[in-house]
Amino acid sequence: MAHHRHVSQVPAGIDAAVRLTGNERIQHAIMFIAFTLLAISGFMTHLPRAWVRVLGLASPAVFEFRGDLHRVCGIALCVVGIYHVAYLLGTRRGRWQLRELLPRKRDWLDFVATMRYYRRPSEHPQPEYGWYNYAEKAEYWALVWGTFIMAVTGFILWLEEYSPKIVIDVSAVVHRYEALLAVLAVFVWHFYHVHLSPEVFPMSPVWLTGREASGTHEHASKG
Amino acid sequence: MYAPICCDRARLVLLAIACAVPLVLVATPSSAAISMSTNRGCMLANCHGTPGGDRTLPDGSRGSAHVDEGELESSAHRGLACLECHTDIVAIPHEAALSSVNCEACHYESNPRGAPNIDQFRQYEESIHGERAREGDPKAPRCSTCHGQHNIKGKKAKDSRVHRQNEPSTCGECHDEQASEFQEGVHGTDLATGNLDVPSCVTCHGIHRIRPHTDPESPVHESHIAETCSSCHGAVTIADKYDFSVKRVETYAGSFHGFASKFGVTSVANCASCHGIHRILPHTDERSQVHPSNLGATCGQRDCHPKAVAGFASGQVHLGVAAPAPLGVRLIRVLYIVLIAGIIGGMLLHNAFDLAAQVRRRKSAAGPEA
Repeated sequence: MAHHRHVSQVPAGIDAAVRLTGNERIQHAIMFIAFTLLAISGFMTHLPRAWVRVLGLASPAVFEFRGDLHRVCGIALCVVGIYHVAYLLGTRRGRWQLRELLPRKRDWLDFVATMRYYRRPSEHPQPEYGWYNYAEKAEYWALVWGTFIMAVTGFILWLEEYSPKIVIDVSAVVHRYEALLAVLAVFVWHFYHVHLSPEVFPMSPVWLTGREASGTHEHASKG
Repeated sequence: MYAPICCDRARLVLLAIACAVPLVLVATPSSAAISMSTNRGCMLANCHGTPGGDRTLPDGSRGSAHVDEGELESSAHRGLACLECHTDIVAIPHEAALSSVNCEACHYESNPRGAPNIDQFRQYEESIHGERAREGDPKAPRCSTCHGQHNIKGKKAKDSRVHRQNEPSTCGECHDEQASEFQEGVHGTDLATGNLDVPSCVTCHGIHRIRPHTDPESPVHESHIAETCSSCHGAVTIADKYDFSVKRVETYAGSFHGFASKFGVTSVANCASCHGIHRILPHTDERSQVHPSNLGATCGQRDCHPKAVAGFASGQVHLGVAAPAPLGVRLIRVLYIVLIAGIIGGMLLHNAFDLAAQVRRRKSAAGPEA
């Protein structure tokens, strides 16, 4: 899907050949590191007792460090999230990206056309997607929503003494399942599109170089 | 003159014989052994045979040295001669300060008399009691402190000092505060009625290898409390019989307290932190730490959640055990399971379609060239 883009009307001053600028790659890197450490330090609380022992983690110091790391990474993710909102609203490129990210009717039509293409690739061509295809848009908004949910419930759990028990209990369930959903989505969805898909296998270079690998059939025209 | 001399000599001989008989009976080792093999020699009225009396006791005080022969004969050691245990008596009258009986003289592994042994001396030596005894603490218990002396009986005998039901009083001779707390609690009151399913002292603390609760090896060390309690409260057979749920143990393990304790963190709550230690009472009892009216104070303990707001401790603790979990919690759980299955399933399907389409396109692209 990554190789079928058609963007008309890229505003002046924006290089459509660059998928991620340096600034955006740093945002991604901070989020990537924070997300990974959050997932590890969060889900390790669910390790079976025997594994905790076998892996040599059965020490209060490990648990304390795990908690501190989780909170530091949580704050890092919040900070980069807030910065990202400012970036989207405060820069010309950000405002353009936000417009491109907003869901529109064409996403649904793209989806239907893609399904048709999947069913009979010989009869139906793969549609040309916009700057962001529907898969990327869905992932982006899931990330925004998920980060918001995780941050709110995370702070409730962190500052547990200020909430009634029902709020803590609900937050704990939400935090746990939303985390599971997020991690599974990254492994299943994000990893397919940036690693496993034959179009990019073994890895799309965008997150490092900012550009698609050479030889991709990208169609971009300035308008 | 002759006759009187003769008379005097005869009287002297008679006197000598009269004096010698009790001396021979009592004082010479050979005759003493004969009489003491049946304990009769020891049970003389003016020695150990009758209550009262004024004799020097091992600790230097004076009082009765009475040994209740009936008690000895109904004990596990009936039929044993005094000297079989009191091996340091070699002459009568014996020294007031006898050394302590060495139980190991009989109770060693594969002893020929069949005296019970399960390597418990080694265990005792590793215990805090054994440690203190080695250090010379006069209060440290030895075998007889718990098992009794002449009244010693197997643990199954109801009047044994180490029978389950008698543990609180036996251990309580030294640990009186803990014993009386235990007797007020639900385990203690049940034990007093003769219910042997409930834990007594040794069930939680261990038997011969008893360690202080501050020792990480102890089953009642903070890091092992959940495990120790769950040996009953996580056991389906006991739970079914007494109509409680084993899920309490599971929900603890799935809580943040449980997570942290799995890693060896001891500052988080374990079972005893909330339910109490010796005086464990049901949550329906107003004196219980987990009675709803006391929960706020229990959670708000100085080292736990002292700043907690009023609602912090209200509501279910072991979620979904006594009553269904709050609606919000259940709804969200179901919603997320459906969401995860739907979204991740859809993603997998979409990936599979995309992969298949790419493979087919490559094949058809490569086809004409081949």
